Amino acid sequence: MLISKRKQWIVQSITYIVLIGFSFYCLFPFLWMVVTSLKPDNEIRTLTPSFLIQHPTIEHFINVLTGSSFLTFFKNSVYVSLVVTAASLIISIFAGYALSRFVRFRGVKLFGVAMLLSQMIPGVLLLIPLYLTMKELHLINTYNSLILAYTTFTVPLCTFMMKGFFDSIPIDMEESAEIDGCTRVGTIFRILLPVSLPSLVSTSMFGFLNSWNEFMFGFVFINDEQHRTLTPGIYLFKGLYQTDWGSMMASSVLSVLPVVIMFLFLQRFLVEGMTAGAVKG
Amino acid sequence: MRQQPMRYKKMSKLAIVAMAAIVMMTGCSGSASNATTSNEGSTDQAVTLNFWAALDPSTTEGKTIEQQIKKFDQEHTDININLQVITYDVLHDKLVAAITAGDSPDLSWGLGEWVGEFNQMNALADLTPYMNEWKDKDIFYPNVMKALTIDEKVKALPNYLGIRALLYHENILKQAGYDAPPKTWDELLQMGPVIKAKTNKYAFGFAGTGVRASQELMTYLAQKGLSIAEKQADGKYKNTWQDNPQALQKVAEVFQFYKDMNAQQVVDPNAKTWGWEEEDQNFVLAQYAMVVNGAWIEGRTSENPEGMSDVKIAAPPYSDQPATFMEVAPLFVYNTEHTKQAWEFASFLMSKEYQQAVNPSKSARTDVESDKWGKEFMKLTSQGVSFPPVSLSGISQSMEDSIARLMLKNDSPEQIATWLSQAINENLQKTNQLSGS
Repeated sequence: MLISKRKQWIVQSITYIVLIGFSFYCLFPFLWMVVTSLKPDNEIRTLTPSFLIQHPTIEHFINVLTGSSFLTFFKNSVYVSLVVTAASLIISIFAGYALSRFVRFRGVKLFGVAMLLSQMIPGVLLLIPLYLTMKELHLINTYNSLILAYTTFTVPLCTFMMKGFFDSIPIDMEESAEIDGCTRVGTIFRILLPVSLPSLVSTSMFGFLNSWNEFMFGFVFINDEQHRTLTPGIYLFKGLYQTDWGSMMASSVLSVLPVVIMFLFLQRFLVEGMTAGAVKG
Repeated sequence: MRQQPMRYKKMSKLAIVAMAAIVMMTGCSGSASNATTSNEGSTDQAVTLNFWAALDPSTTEGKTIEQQIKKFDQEHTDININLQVITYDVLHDKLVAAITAGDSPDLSWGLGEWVGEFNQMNALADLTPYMNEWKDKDIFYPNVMKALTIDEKVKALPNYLGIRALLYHENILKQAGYDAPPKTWDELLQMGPVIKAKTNKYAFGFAGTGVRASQELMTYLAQKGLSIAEKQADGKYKNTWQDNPQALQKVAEVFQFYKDMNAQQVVDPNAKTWGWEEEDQNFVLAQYAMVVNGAWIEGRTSENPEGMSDVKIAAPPYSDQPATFMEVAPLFVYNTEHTKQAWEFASFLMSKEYQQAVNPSKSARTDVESDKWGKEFMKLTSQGVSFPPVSLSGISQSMEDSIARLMLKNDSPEQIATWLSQAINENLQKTNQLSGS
């Protein structure tokens, strides 16, 4: 359909106005977080909250970085999240492939359904059983307790993401590789994975974010500062009689930064990966 | 045999290396962590006590506590203290998980609402023999120790007190033409509209949600001579309001008081959704004139010197009899192998030296010299009431829900009185504490 330039301009303007509105709506909490982290206490606890900062300060950031164990928490979160991401990715590549290519086996379908069902159990129900399990395994207060728990929570969805992508790859490619003498593992690593980079990135990011943002198990399994992760660590700024909002916001900004940077760099892959496998053919 | 291409070999190696790295990382991590939680200290005989406290390390009080504990640690070569800071918001869930798994700390802070629950879980050590032999056993307020004694056994120790008093902004009252705060509910209801008209500020504040809501409701019920659960002949508890029409009427009067405060613009309409933070913050900023609150508000003076400059203390306005909620924050000693050492540490935490340094305004010891602010609160200790020693989590929620039913659902006070009585007994039944069950 042909439309005049004027109409085109109007449609484009409306589109951008709506998009800017939505962006502001989505970004407002983050902007408020940044603004609060740069305000002195008396401007945070005021009757007339304002976006404008009269006396900007970095005292909250200094307090977070020098007066708390934030850097330890950060390091722990990075470590746990990276290990969980790597473990989830390796497991889900093979599990996703099996679910995609061995559908004719009844057990595989059943396994897929079981994985799906496992996602329907709220985490809080597993809190005490998992605590008991970790205690029996002498893993309470170790990184391993978190790595094991997070990996088990992350693998099912990662598997379905990988399965969706493998489903969209024509079987002919594998058959060609097989004729050329490639083994099944070779096919996965040499044929499927090189063309599934976007899916790998989005799956990895999902795994990473899942463990990066987890709070409940991080708080229950870990009892000392050396092993505490970011989310429970930030919560410590909620004091006995009042909340140190400035430090809480500053630490939140510092926690969000790596995720934001990651998203900026990997956004292209993420969008491709998320839509991969959505349409077959 | 077919030759594997070089690239595939590399891929396979990479995958194997990655797997091995993960196995190594997960296998090696955390192995050192048990050093901090194991009960082997730096010396052969030293015992490590795990102590979970909800202190705030950013405050002077928190720093003083840490210093005092460090001092104890240094003076006792046979005891090491492993202090873990865990906020109250998550401390309860962490403790429940740890107790259930038989992995509780040796000692912890707690709230009065948890005493009955943890006792039911058989998690608490019986400290009666230690207490009886202790030279300072008679130095505590009797009603405080009573709140921590179940079936004649001392099941927790007083960490600090949170006695509630009426805090009021003198300037707002003067602006409205009043020289003194209200002594009764009726006076408060009369003063409310006048204060609103003359100062454009609400007279009173309360919390409609969270743990503070049930604590405030306790105050008003106690001022009517009511208890949420009474011990029966079989040693269990029951809410008896429905057995006595007069009692039920009194409960309805309490809810009517809430309703009147709302209807006559004595309180900010937003108070129905306030938690403790909103209540405290709005008072500190002098957004309303009066609140029934704890001594901790003094700590906000440095942050809001203007708002806090005219704050004065009085007894809470009452109805039938003077009463106030006395939050007894307990120190829990759990059933561990090291009860003797745990008691030694606990008795230090209750000593005059520690309490004077940490809790001058809120100590349960009668010999701790309070500052001017603390003295006003301590005067009210004799009229302090606490929660009965039953498992309270469901009951607190029902008390909070009763206020929501009144404020948001507009149920009648009589309906809510009956509903709350039933809800309390249902909760007691769920936790096997209901008399006759």
